[in-house]
Amino acid sequence: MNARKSRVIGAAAAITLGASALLAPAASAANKTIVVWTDETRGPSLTKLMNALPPNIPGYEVQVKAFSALTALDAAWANATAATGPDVVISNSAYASQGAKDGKLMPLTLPSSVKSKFSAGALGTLSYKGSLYGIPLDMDTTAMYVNTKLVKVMPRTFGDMVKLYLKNKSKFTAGFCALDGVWGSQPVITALGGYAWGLKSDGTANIMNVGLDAPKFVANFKKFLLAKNGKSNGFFKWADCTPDFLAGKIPFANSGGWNLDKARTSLGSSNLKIMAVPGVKAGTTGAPWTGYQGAYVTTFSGAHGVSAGAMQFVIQYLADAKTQAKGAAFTNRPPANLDAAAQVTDPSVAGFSKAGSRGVAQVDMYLNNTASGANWYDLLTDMYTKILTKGAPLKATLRRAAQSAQMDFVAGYKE
Amino acid sequence: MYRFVGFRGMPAVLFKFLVLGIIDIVMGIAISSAFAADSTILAWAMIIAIGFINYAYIFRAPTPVKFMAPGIVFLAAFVIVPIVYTVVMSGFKFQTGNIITKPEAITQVLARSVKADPSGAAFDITIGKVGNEYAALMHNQTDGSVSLATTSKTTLLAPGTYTADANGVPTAAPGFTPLTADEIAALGDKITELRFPDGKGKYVAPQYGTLGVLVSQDLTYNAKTDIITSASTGAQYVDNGTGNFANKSNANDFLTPGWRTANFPQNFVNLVTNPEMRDPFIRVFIWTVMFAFLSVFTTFLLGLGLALALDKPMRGRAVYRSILILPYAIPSFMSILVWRGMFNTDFGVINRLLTSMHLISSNVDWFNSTFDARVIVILVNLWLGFPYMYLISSGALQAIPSELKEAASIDGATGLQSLRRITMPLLLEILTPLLISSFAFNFNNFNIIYLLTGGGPREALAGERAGGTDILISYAYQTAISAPNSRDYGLASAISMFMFVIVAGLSMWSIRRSKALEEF
Repeated sequence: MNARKSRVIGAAAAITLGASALLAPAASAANKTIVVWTDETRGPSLTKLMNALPPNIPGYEVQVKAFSALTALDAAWANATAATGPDVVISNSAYASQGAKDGKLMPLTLPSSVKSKFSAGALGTLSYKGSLYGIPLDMDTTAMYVNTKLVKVMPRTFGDMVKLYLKNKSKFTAGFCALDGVWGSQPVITALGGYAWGLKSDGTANIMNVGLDAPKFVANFKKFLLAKNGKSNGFFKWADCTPDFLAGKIPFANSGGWNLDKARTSLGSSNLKIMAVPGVKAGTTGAPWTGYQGAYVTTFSGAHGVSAGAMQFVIQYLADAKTQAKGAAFTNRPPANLDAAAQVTDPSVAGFSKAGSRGVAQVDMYLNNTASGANWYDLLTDMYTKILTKGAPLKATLRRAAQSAQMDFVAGYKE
Repeated sequence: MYRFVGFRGMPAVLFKFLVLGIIDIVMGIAISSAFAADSTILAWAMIIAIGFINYAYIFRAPTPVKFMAPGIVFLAAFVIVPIVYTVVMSGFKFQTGNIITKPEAITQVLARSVKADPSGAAFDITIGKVGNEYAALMHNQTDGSVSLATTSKTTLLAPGTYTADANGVPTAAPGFTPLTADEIAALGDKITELRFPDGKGKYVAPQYGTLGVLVSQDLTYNAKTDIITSASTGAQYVDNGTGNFANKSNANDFLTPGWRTANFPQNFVNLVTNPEMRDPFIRVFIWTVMFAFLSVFTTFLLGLGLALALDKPMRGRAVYRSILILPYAIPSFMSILVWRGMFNTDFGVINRLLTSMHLISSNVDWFNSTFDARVIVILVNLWLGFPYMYLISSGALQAIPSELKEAASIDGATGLQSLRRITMPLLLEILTPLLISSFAFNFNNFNIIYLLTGGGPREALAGERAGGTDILISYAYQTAISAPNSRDYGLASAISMFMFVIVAGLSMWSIRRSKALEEF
């Protein structure tokens, strides 16, 4: 190697090292950013909220990363490490137990002044083994969408809906669509007298009493959902029916506020009414799941050196009544903060709030357990398929589903 | 004269160093970030890689090394590292509840034992210093009292001895120097590590720069003995060897979260002996072999048939060939999703077609019968795979000397005899390695299963853990990723190891049987 070449090499190496040394501190300085992960519906609404009401956290800026779908967020969250993970994650209540088990979430210690702004149920769904892991943002609950172009008289009972469908069977592709799959079919189960678990006198879940094979439910299932051949009468759909509802071919659907804008656009705001799923007897209603979207501070925030900022963002900003009241305008979901909920004026959001107030607290550690081989949602999918599509014996299939669900719940309780 | 990407002489040398410099800068940033994130192994791997790249291009390394260097680095990063990681993880208890490291788990266990005082007392705090010691001016939100706390003691301040803002939050007191907002931000998470004792066994823990909560801590960790002790019950929790701290006197009482820990060969043993894991594994394995074999067999049969049909000159042959290659030209994931839509129960074109032809009276739920779903998977894979087989068969047919067939014909061989005795043996000799690789590809054909059936149908009520069309790779994915509350990366890695051994073994065996290696 000649001297000239050596000089060139030396210069190149010096420039390289110098540039690296200059850039490295810049990379560290970026650590004062609080990175928030969320899904495709929550992300844009959070960004709008922060534009309208900027968080004041001295020394920190907040960056929102919205994933294209909840499943994409789930996958990213499952693989998140200190190097790649977020400082705050906003998602459903299932993240609380799962994140706590995995050691990915920091427990939150709230002062009573903040705690008192949330219902015990809301805080309970975001807790695991006595520790709180998330701040409740808003209610994850559902209500019934009624296409008033197809329904002239609001149904008073479940039977009214079935009757309307059977009368117009040639015009409709189904009578009732659970837009969010089996999760959204919960008010149908409860409207017909079924339930995931009974309630003890203190209001807590009695997991030894799974009501999928309750005699009332078995009878009503047969009466309202089955045809004479023992298969579905076509009224109830729990999958692939969203396009038909939005196209005006299904009169009733069940979903949360997240589908409201889409439904309003497709059907027209004036053709949409929100109400609770009516029960078998007039005056009674089905009980949807009531979960809560939570804002969770991750343990990765500690590795990034921003956990104090992340705590402040979650406890001071996202938990605040003013923030949640403003946020409801962007999410169409009832806020979890009780002061904020009292300020809601939108009738649709109020409708969800009313339906949710009759809901059953969604305890994810029971519902997501797979001790039987499948969680609650997969059990229901199989149960519906077997009975409604394949015509399996009703009572035996419901009994089997109840037994499997109980196995999951008990295992979930023990964990 | 030195040449580099079209440059000659000194410009070539400078351009080379410019490119190399840019790579070094990028890698330098990545390495410093990796060190900053405590990813020491990754950082050192990158240092070795960049060192190797620099050696290859700055010094007079042999020419083959210069050509191979990028390939070697990428091979190591994207093939060897994942394989090694999978092998290592297959010997670990690495599942929901045992994801993080032991030090992280200890931190988490201790953090979880910090409980807010039942009184819910909270404090508006102003962080500062008394002398060199961190301190806080604290305003009790409940009773309005104000105190000055250091990490060793707390002193109640009498009204008039401090300055407060409009909300009653103290901002200044004699001997206390408040930190500025910038200083607090720079302090970062150290704030949350501060503890201000209340003198009654509890302490005020800052949640962030302006809020403190009265808390107590139940568990303490002794690093020397590696024991966690509960102050409230006196229970001692020791490392149970399987990734958790368990109560000395009650093994079923353990603290969460746990940590990932070596448990070789437990995952493999479970896969073979635990009926809950073994039964679905065997079922899935059998179907995987069937699926891979049927996929190769059917696509090869159709592809070869079409290649033979179009082997002879005929009118419009080019058009036919173009049409046959079309399925190959469309991205497979799109084709799969279109097929999935076509088989949809309610609005799929297949059901509509069959209904209009009066072949079915009601819509068929194709994906809810294991047999139907498997047939559909094979059919769709046939659609996706036959153009490839057609292409390689056409090429191979053209490589067979026509003189052989002509000689056979003169000797009186019929067309079928010529095909069986001359064309097929020569064709198979050429195509065997490709058929084997196709088998190996289909053995791990995740896309078609995931996108078409999602592994289903699954008899959830019967307790089935694997779906009817799940193949090993989709089953491993389901085990590792898709079940939110029961992910088991260790078991999934063990399944992957089985797959690797099976595919590698089958491939080696088949290649030897066909003596194809001699042709390479």
